[in-house]
Amino acid sequence: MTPWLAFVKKECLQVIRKPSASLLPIFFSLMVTSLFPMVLNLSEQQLQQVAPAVLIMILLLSALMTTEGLFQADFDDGTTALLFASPHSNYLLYGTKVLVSWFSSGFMLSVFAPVLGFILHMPQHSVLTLFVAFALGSLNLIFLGAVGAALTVTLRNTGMLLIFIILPMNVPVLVLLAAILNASNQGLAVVSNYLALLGALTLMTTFLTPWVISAALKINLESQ
Amino acid sequence: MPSLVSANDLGFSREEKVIFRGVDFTIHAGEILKITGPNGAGKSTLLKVLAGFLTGFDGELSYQGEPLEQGGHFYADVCYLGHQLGVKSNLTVYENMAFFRDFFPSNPVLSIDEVLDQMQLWRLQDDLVSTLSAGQRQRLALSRLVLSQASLWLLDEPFTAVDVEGIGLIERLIAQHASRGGAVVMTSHHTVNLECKHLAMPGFSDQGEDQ
Repeated sequence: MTPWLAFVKKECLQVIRKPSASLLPIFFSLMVTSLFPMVLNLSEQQLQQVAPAVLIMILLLSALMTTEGLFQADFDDGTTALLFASPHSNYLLYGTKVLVSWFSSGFMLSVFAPVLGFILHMPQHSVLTLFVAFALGSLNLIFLGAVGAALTVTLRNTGMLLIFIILPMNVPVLVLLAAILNASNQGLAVVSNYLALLGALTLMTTFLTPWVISAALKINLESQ
Repeated sequence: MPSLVSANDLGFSREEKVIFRGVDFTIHAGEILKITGPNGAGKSTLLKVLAGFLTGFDGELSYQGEPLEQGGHFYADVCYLGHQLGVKSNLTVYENMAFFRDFFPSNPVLSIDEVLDQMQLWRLQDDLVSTLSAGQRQRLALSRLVLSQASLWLLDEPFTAVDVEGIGLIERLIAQHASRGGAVVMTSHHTVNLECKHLAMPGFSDQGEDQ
């Protein structure tokens, strides 16, 4: 088994041992989307109009849930130091770690996104758009959130600080997501263009942030 | 004989506070170096510098005659065990060992079963690490050394939380590693039954009584 595969196996095993981390965003999103129609007593059309805002908030909060403390356990138990002492590329390892974390939470939430859209009466043709937008959006938000988690790994109770660090970075993604979901609601063809833009942004984030994450962890390791 | 690691007037400062300075030592294959000094003397920091965690040190540090900055091969040849053990508490003993074997450059001859046996963790192999005692966790962390192919072991207080039997086991591992041509640099407040060179951190006298 190659070192990289061994690392992936270890990360996957840890996810399996703690299924609540993957299930929580899904339960949370189902609860919020179910409560909205119940509490607000809106018509189907009105609900469809507020759906993008509700879905974007769900995605954002789920990403925050996933990334808070993403590197904490590894840092505290010495795994981070071991990874830096290994001859392997930390860029690749941390990129992989965040990807596994995204797959177990963000991707799973994306699979449920069409259900959330259905509850909020989004049009049927937006099923695929919802899935792709959620998958790309969550990937982007989780990688950006991971940067904040790496920067604040030595601090305790970082919830608020993390939000202040990463929310400004999230704005372009949130704006694009809002445009995608609104356009999809209205059945506009421009959706695919917006999705391509979000894809490009996600690609850039996915390739650049592991370098920042590994540098931030290294700095924190040196300051210990 | 060429030295494995040598330090010349090595020092390290953090935010203008000197942690240690003026450290000189040379270690060859087959040697054990025990670093002594009271708490706060910079022993752990010195090991972290050797492990490559801390950059920006003063003085010269070379590995197999090459300055450390250029020693790309160095990390593959070092196994570091610090206060934080690097074992995952939500994985089993066996899963942790399998990760050590597959992730770090490891000895292809040794099987996990042999190491489990050697570290006396055979009966605990399917137990989650979170259920182990501190001493058992320390043994698991030490199994990384046994599985490793690294010639230089850097051990920060390896005898912490280990019982008398465990201390004997660790001493045997260190002696075996040295006899096979490996080198060990360790810090410890324990008196060890090993033939080792001593390095008292500058400014402090060595109080050890080791053989």
